[in-house]
Amino acid sequence: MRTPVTPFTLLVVLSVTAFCAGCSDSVPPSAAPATGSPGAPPWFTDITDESGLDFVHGASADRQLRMPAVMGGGAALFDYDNDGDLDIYLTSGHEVLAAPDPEGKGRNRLYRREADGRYSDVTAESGLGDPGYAMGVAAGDIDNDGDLDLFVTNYGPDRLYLNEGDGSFSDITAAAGAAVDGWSASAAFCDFDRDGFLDLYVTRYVDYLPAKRCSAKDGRQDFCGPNSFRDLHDVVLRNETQSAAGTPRFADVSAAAGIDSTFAAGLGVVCLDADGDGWQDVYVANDADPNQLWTNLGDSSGGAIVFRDDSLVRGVAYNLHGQPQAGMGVIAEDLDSNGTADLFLTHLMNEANTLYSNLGGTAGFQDTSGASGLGPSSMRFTGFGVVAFDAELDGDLDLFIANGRVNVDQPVAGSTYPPPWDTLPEPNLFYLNDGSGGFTPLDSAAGALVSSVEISRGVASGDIDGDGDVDLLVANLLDRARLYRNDAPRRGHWLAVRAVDPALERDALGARVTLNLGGRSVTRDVATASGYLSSQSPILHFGVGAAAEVDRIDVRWPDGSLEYFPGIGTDQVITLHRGGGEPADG
Amino acid sequence: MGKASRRKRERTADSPGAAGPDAKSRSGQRSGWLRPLLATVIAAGLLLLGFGAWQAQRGVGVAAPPVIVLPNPDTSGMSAPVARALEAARDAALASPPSADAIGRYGQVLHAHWLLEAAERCYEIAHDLAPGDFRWVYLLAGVAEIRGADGERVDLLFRDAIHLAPFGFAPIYVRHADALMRLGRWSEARDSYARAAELDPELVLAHRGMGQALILVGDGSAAVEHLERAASLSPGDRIAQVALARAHALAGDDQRAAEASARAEAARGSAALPDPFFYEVERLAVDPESLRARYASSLRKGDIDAAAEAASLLAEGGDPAASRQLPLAVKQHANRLAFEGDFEGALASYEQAARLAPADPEIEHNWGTVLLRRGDLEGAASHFERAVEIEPQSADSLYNLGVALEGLGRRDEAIGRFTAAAGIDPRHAAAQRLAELGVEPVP
Repeated sequence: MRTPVTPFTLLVVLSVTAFCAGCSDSVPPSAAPATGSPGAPPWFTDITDESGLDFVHGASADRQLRMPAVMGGGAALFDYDNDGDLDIYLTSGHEVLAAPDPEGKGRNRLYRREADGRYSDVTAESGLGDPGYAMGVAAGDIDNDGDLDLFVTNYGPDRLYLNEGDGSFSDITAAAGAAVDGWSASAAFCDFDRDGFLDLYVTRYVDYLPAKRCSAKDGRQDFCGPNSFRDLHDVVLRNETQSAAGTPRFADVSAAAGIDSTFAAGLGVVCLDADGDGWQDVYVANDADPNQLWTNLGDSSGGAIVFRDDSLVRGVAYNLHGQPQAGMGVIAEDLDSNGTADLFLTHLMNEANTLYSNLGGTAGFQDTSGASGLGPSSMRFTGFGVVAFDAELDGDLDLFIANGRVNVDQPVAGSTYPPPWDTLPEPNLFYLNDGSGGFTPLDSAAGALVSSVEISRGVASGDIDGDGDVDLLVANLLDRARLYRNDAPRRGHWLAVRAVDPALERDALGARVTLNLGGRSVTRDVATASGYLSSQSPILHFGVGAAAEVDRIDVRWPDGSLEYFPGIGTDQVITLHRGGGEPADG
Repeated sequence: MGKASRRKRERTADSPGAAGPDAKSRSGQRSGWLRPLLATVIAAGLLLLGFGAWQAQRGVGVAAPPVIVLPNPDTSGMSAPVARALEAARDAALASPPSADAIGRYGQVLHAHWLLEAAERCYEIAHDLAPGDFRWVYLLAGVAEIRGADGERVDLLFRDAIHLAPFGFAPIYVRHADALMRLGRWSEARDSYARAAELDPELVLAHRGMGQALILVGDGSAAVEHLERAASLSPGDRIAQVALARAHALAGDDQRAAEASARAEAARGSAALPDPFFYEVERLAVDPESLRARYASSLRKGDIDAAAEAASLLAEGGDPAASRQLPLAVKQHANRLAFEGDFEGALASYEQAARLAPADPEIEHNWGTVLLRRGDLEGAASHFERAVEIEPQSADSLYNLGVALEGLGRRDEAIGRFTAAAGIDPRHAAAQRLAELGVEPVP
């Protein structure tokens, strides 16, 4: 028999419902909606363990809080054995600051990518251990013999290693006249005089005095900052190698170039053609000093390497308040998709990272950090390494920033570092580009890339697994280096472009490649120096969105000549050889 | 069926003893009045509980007093003065009932030592307790902005602060404008700088910021006008010259850009924002670097008490250098004043110097010399006596004492001092004085 719903029952039900409505947990809305679909796999996966990469960074990590120990190390993704995949080189310090590594072997490591995708430590046979207290690394073919050589910067004498082509490297620092002393940081190979041989720009930091002790604002002992010491000037080495047959030779032309009277705590460097005149300029990110934009006067210097600092008049010396910032890493990439390379720098906590948008021509740059979304969101963090790449292939460049403090603070919950290093870890930042230079942080969807809380420093990018998207290698202070595979949901197609000058038997560093896609174009420059202390693959990886093919590819080669190449389908790796296209009007 | 008939049937059905439901049902109804009553009571009770919970969720009605949890940073490893300052401020803030002033003060001490996350929390609490107190919302806005808070929140905080600000307080508009600049809201920043300049036409940072904002919005000529105004108000301001160089460069005037660049290169200073609220925070800093700066600036200003306090705190924090240097520094300061003819200032400084270094004969001697020049012979004599007591072999102090005693009419005592001085140094002026007095020096 059907039981009627009596008024009593109904009343009780309604009452209980009212009661429970008052009991419900009021879950506050989250402050920022997470992008990415709930339940979807993370965009980046930590594949360090399965890759075989077992590198652990070393430093003089005693309680003396020595400044070089907190600066960390760099990372390089480069194909040292020309087998078509990306190998890894990571730099490290060691326990004793003032002396070479006690074991004499050094702790830098070279890892070769094997056919099965794993990495093997081949440091011993390569000779790249380096006993110095290493900072950064730059990769470039200095003798145009078709293989990549390495320049390792140190707290102490730097070293130049020549790739012998058989898996080994030789230290040719002295023989090549490439000795740079003092405390060097980032270095960049660029052809400043357009003679076909890669020159070298080396940033130098400060004249550190190990006996100096510094304290934080709360009186605790802390790492010293650059203002506690005398700045050093940078060094530019001109490559005077005549051919691949002889021993490479370099000459220190810092004085003639006009940079030896500018003293600043240099940490990051990129080469770019800032004024569009076809000559490679240099931008240096300085720590607590104004930055420099060294305009290359090669057009009027009769072949000599001569620079003029135009940073102030071009609007890239200071932030929008006219103040110097603690510049760490720097990249030159077209972040607002308008065809010109912008500059982006990472900075200290309580200073926003800075985006200088290129105004085009000789107008210089404008600080657009706030409007881009990159400013305030970064103020809680100390940024170091930085890379720009199209994570989801929608046609614009996204940003990854490696973070980690340099000043002692309150211990970070859950940190396994010994004190006071346990106060330095920070999560990293990954930003999605909205297509016109507006950036939004991607939180949980980015996965371990941003959820790991480590003391991160150098970053290198490249398509490690050859699947068409860009992966990341992150160097962490006093910790394992991490390899992150890009598993982002694909929102478009891609094209990887390698620009090679057959006459020079190497990648054409400084070449400008433009993909024409219907009514729009995408431009990037070939370079390896990027970010902080690091070196990336010279293969340009473009996300092209919905375009299944490219209409035309324009290349401006480093010597200024222009060529265009016919359209091609996307989702492949292509190599453009100078002379293989059609000459184009300038 | 008509309505009347229906009503009759209903009345009949409801009436006790009415036909329709059987008698058992009727008697069940009589004894079942409890059930509806019970249902009503239960329902009412549940409704009330639900309503109460809903109100509590909305924060309406009588709520229990909130438990205030104050930040408690780990002070181990901090210098003793800093740790003590933080702990004292926190103890005061923990007093019951909660005091916005005490909690805000704690926030200021945290702020002074760059424990910004904790400072922000304290300012939030103080602001909640005293929403009409300008200080807390103003400092909160400043700290939140530095820590990268959401732009809308920062803007709202500054607007709240402006609403409460003392009349005519221009610096707040500059700070608000600076924050808007960093958020990329350049036009709004320009307007806020303009308001600051309106309130204080001599405010360097208002004109400088205005110029920087005008560059960004593309009004180069107006930018130059304001930047030149800033530069004229503060010729040594490097930042104004930097911005001028950029403005001229954008306008295509390379010549003037280069000139401004050169001036920027030569300039070393930067104008400060005259903001007593943030100065108050700086004043609370007792970290070594702040103390060293305070020690040096206090000495320059002749504020020996402040310098001594800073030196003492530095020594407590493990840096005794300032304490060791202070007596010498004060003495040198006093000597300088005396040399410049500021006898009043010199006397005050000698008094302080003597407190710091009671056994320094030079202090007593110079002190006496100044008094001698002022004609205070009694005072001078007492200090020369002290100098001689500390350093019996000082011919100069003995001679000066003799001069003072002679002036006081104590000739024999004076001759005794001159004789002693000549005995130490036969070529001293004391020997000549003796000769003038017709006294043969004792060989």
